[in-house]
Amino acid sequence: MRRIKKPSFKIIILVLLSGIFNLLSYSFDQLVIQSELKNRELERELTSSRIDLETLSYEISTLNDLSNDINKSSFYFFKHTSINMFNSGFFLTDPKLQEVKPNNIFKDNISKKIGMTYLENLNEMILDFNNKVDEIETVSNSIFPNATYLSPLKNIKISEKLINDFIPAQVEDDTEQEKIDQKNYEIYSDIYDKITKLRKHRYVYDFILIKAEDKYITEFSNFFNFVDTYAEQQNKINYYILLSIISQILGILFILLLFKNIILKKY
Amino acid sequence: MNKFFLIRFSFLNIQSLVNKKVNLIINLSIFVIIFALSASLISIMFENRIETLESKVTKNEINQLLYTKWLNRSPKIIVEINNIDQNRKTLKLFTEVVKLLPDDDDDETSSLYSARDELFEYSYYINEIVINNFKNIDLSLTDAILLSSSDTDIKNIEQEKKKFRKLINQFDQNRYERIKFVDNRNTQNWRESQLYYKEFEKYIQKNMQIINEQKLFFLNFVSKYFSSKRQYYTNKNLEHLNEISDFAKLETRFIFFAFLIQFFIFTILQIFEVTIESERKNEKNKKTII
Repeated sequence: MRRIKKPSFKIIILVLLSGIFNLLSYSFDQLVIQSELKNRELERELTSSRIDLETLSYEISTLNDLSNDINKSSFYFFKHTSINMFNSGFFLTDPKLQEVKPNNIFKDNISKKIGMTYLENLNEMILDFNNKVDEIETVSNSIFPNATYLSPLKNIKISEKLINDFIPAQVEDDTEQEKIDQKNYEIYSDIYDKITKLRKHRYVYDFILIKAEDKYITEFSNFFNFVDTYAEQQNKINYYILLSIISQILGILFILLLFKNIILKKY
Repeated sequence: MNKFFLIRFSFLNIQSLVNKKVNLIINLSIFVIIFALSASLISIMFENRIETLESKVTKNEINQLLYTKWLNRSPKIIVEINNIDQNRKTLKLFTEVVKLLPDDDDDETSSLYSARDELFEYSYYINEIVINNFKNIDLSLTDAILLSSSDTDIKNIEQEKKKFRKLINQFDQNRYERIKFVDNRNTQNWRESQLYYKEFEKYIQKNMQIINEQKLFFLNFVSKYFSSKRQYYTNKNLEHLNEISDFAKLETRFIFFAFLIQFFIFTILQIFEVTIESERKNEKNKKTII
């Protein structure tokens, strides 16, 4: 009966080592696949954080511009309401009824022309004001819908009919004049209140601006931390790839050493 | 018997020749494996360094967002401040004539262009402009801190912050005085109220001085600081990118050098193995003949 030769201890160890390293290589390959999936997710997050930061930066600039624009516009409307209303009345009143006659230096038709220009300006100003409100609402709705939701701008608009009741001239009768002054003052107050409301609307943007600035600083520092996490993940993948390659190479190395051992033993 | 021995001997010779070749292939494969191991170790070492540099480049790229924002925004703010000043001067060109028209008995006041229209509303408008500029200064200082890269930068920002606080104090004082003035209003007729409104020019002038200081801040600090930061981070990024390409070149050279060393060691080992093997075989042959 032929005796079966038992494999040596060295051969068994080499077989075991080769098997273990091949298994390790497979495990590291799986880890690489999983880490790559996570990395893709992180990459997407990195891009979106970057876009978020850029958007926030633009938002802050837009909020600043909007607030500044409202300040400028409200000042413009305040000034124009008062001058156009008063001066139209001043130049359209019969020169004989006025205590002081600036019309001494203007001919009657020129005085009326100036008065009408102020009246036209007043009408135009109301149109400009309403257009400005629409413009702010459109910009606000597209970028900061919450701002107009919190403080609706539609109510701020001035009725174009309001100016129809405005009487830009003085009359002889004092009682009648008192009524006219009362009505004119109501119209002036109404317009003034609307402009004040527009001016106050900028506080909504200022409030959003403060919140956006805080968010901006937080997101900026978060982005820096996120870049570190991303780099860490990238390094982890590199290590897994290296370990997988090393395990694969060692697995093959032990197989080769096994062959060499078997051949040398036979020989 | 002799014939059988010769046949067996020649067969053994062929087998030894085959084994020799297999052994050489195995040795060569082991050499390749060790080379692959060292190459991957070198690669990973360099790749990690490159990865660290790349994350620095990404961080610097996000800094670009900050300095670009202020380099674009500060000239705009300066132009707006200049416009405020210019618009007021342009307005004054003809309003002085209008104010002197005989619209009332008094040359000090004007009905056509009242002091309220000229100064009262304007003082609030200027007030808001100052506040808006303060917001921008505060934002720019926060961004300046985020971009700071040295102690000099921090000290510079600290100095600007002190100036900023000083300006806020000036503004608050001016506002406090104006509020006090408004609270103490005591006007009986139209003329008195016009004279009262004329006092607002004082507060406008103080705020205009603050606005000019704010302009200087944007001109002397924001533009220069963020421009220098742009230069700094662009250079840093270029440095990092050059370092990355240097590392890539060094990596190739390292691997090639490692290959040469290993090939040299392998050749020496093969020579040793062949010499020892032939000596062992010679001794074995001698023993067989004896």
